[in-house]
Amino acid sequence: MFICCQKLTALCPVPSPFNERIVLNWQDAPLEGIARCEACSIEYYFRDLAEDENSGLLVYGLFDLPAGTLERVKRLLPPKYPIWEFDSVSPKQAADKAIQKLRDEAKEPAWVFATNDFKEILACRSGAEAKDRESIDWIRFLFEVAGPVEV
Amino acid sequence: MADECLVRAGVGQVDKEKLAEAATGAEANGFPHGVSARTASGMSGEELASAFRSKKFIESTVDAIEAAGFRVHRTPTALDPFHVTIELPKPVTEEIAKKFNRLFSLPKPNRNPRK
Repeated sequence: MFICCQKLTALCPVPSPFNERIVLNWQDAPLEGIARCEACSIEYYFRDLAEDENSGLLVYGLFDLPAGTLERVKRLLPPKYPIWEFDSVSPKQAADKAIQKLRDEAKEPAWVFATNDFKEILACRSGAEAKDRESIDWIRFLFEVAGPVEV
Repeated sequence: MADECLVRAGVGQVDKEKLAEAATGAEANGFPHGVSARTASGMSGEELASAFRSKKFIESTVDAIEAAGFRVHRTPTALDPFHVTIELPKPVTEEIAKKFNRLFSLPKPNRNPRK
């Protein structure tokens, strides 16, 4: 039983509901790919936004995808996925083109979350709350404590 | 891949637990039991490290890694044609971790990290 992606903000830390995924980039951890929430089946493109080199903490953005994208991309994957080697040029071109389209469309993150290992979500916030996304400190954005309330 | 520069992201020495964890994670995701690195013919360490978000990287060569008994697998991903996996034995012992760490340079500044 997984906590739905829509409820992560309030309930973290929780086990990650994003166990069904396609990994498109990897450096000792998934950096970019497609994930589906096991609770509600909503699909996202995910991409790393920041990392803390000392602790290993990774921050990801989740970008909305149309339903069925994960299954559609699965059909384009190479025989030795995640290793990106195809038997001929044409299937590779089709897969590369589909992935580039997803990347181009992943502009505003619906959610931003932090994890050490993609198994547990440590913190999560709505991407809409992030201002000035070009220069934002994503780790601070996720873990900052609200200041004193003015009365 | 002989004599090619090979880089890994990060701050340097990695303990056996972290190496084992990374290798297990790689294997669970369809890669060989090992850790990630980048290498490409004719590219410098700095050029290769520009794909890393980290501010530092460590460097070795494919020859040095293989001469020490580790196998370097070409494992390009959809978004990184230069991704390789340095295969690690199971289990990753203290001795293996020490041997592995000795193969790399001290951390170097990554002047052009990925944004």
